[in-house]
Amino acid sequence: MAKPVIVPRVNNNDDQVTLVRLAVKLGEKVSANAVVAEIETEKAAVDVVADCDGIVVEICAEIGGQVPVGSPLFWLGESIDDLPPARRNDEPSPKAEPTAKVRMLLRQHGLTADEIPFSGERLTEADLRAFLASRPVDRLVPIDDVKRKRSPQMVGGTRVDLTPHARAMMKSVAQQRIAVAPTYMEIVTSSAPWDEVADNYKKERGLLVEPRLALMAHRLVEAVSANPLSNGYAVDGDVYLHDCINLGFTVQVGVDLFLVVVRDAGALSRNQFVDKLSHLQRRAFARRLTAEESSGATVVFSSMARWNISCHIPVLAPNTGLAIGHAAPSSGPTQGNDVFGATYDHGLLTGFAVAEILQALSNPQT
Amino acid sequence: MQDTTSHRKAIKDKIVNLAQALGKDATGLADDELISEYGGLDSASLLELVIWVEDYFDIVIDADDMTIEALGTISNIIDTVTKKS
Repeated sequence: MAKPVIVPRVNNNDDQVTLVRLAVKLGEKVSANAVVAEIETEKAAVDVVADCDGIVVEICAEIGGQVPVGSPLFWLGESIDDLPPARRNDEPSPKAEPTAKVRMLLRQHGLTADEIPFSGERLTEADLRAFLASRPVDRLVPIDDVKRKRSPQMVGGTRVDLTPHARAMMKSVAQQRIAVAPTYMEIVTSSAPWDEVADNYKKERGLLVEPRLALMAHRLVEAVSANPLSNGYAVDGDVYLHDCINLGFTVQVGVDLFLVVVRDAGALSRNQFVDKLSHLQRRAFARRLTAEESSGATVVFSSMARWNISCHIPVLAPNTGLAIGHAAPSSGPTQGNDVFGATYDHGLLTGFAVAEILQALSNPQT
Repeated sequence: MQDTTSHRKAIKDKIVNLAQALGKDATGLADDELISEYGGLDSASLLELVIWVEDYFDIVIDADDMTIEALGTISNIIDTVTKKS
């Protein structure tokens, strides 16, 4: 059966990309991992690679055109006659038959099965989650229809055109206002224990880059593993637990903020986690993050230590219930300390549960 | 790898630029001195340096190379690049 090569997400804030180059032609044989196209946004250009062998049976975009993230760029079949599902003439288009869980998730997100691309015989939860990860936030959580209390005519001023990046960021942070009951608490702790652990770890492995924040993020993964509800999210009065811990870690590259995601972080050893995060940070600096590397976070760690910030209150990412903000000021009342702050959905987590996580973070020893 | 002297200079120039962005002066950095300690680069700048080394010398830095032994000094970088070229 023909399989789609999906347009990957280049960064969190661009839902459309431009097709710059196609390296394949209709009927051409393609090998897995071969570069098949180049796409770009305002911020970066990336290569698209084929994730399987096949023959190009349909090309869905034109060079220079805009294509939605998550949509098929082209289809690969086992033969030239192996057409995509919608093109087959010898049988009716296959009807997506979602599983019961997928039907529940479709209702939850206000979607229909027809809207979700899939490559197998049946629409699966994995297909749906990949689609959700590529969609703008306002399709993930229904926007309420409360009329704005203020109008431009009442307030005045000049309307500013937002870049796609800025608009996507606005939508992303709006979820916290609409869908959750955000609450915040923090803990101030001596930096000495983390200094010692990070220093020893760095010397033991001979690392080039300071591992302090990576080790803190791994400690968060351990704490979340011990508190499964903190890896969940609440929607319309129901609570859902994610299947695994995908740790989101913010990386500032120039004026751009990226969220790299260490997938299934709970299954990684400390060394594996530190190495994976280092790899993703390099990918972010090189502006080569793939869709999988920058989406699907279930819990987030963000540090402003580099900028001598004294308090960092993070915003919850879509479909999460917990975000940790870290600061390490070198001046002021908390100088010389680590400050861990937690923004959490109080509809999901109690203050006690979050306090336990913060206390775990303040203690680097497992 | 040819012209080691020019490559050393290119690496040093890059380090000086990255340090300048942090308000630091790395012009006195010797080839065998730790870049993080005497060049004043922080973790983010070191990552930028690694990416620049990959692009400039057209090599791939693996996870196992992200060590002081492989990339901690200008001389280490030259040795690593030579092995991978």
